Amino acid sequence: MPAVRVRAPRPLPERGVGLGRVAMMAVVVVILQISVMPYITLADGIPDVVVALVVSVAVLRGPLVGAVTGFGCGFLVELTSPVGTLGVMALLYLAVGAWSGRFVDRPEASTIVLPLGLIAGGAVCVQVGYAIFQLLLGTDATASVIALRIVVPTVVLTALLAPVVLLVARRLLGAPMRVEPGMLGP
Amino acid sequence: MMIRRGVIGSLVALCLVVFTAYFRESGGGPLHGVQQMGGTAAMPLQSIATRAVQPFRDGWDWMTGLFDARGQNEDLKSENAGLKARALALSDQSAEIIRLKALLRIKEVVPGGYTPVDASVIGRSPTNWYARATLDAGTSDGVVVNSPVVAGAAPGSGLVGLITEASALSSTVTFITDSSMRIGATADGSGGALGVLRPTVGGQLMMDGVPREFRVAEGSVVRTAGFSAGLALPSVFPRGIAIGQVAGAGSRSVDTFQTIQVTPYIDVRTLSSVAVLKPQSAMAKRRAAG
Repeated sequence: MPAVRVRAPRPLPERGVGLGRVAMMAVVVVILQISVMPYITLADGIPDVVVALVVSVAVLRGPLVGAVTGFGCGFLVELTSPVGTLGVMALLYLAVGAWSGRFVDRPEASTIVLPLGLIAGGAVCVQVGYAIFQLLLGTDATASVIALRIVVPTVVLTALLAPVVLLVARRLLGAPMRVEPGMLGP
Repeated sequence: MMIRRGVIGSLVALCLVVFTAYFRESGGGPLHGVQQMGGTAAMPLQSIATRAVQPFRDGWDWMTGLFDARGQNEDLKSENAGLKARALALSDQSAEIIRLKALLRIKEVVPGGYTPVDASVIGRSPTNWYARATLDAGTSDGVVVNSPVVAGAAPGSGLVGLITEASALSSTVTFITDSSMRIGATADGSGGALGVLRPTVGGQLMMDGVPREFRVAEGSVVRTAGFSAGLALPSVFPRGIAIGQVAGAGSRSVDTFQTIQVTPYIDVRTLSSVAVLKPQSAMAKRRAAG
């Protein structure tokens, strides 16, 4: 019986640190999130392309860039859209970016499966975190409503759009590379 | 590693400071002002993005509408027959009302002392915890905080929300489905039943505080009652704006009040244009002042 040949995945090209590209992607994604995504709904869920970008950047550039990207995107979303909070989304996306960036050194960071799994997990964390904050503010909602009408539909919609965001990020940023503060200096 | 942790820790601390300060300050505080400025700065991009996506949204709505059309057809036929009969019965009363109003010299500006200002929705809350949207009309167009917002400028258009923030070029409408909204309301044909509307899941509304003695029929029109949720007059909403339709009413034998489910006339999730009711009369301006 002839041996089955499995082709090794094509390695991603090296493209440098690419902070400018990260900033550009962040601006585009924030505009999409506030202008387009609210019209794509499933129950009370809205796709979260910001978490998809934050995780993608974190997996490709490490926890520092992931955290800063999350902070910046969250802050921009809260500044430019009619939400009643400032700083909450920034904190949640920052945490997701910092945690996802721990996987940058693993071989799976170059695959599709790990980042997509992290994006789904990140979407759950952001939605649950925001729900907890809303409950602390006194908003009246039951756990079943939060889970079935908000969290699950949001994760489903995010998972459908995440591959596009991930592939664009991989195309622009190339191979995973942990960025540390020393790499950004003169 | 220490520098990385320091940067991340600083950003976390900054987030905590910002949202603590945001919730401690009043609506006119510096952070709220920065948020308004950010919204205004993003307006042009939001307008372009919204218009660019409009054809795709129209196409999607057309496709989903086709699937719904067959099921709605029979329901609408029977509803139409009932409405024709009611229209015939009411037509002879309308002439008498016009005559009596002329005698009393009552002037109507849609409704009770307001002028409609057309506005387009250019941005929405990216989370359904806040049912809010950004409009491209602001104080330069006469929009003020606490201006009611309806879907369309024709008399009888459905209530969709309230202006809660306004800057020179844009404003924020909080929809009636937002968890913070409470609206004093009454149901037609119920003999004066007064209650308070609040949002529930799935964009529906619930009317509380209506005593069981009042008979509220399914299909009745629910309108603003002109009083605030705390029963202190006047409300920011003038009397008589249609909100929705009674979908059901019920109570247990031990309850003092009945629970009334209301389906809003307008699905705020699909709105692309609205009319902001700019206060004109002295009474309307007093309502908006709160």
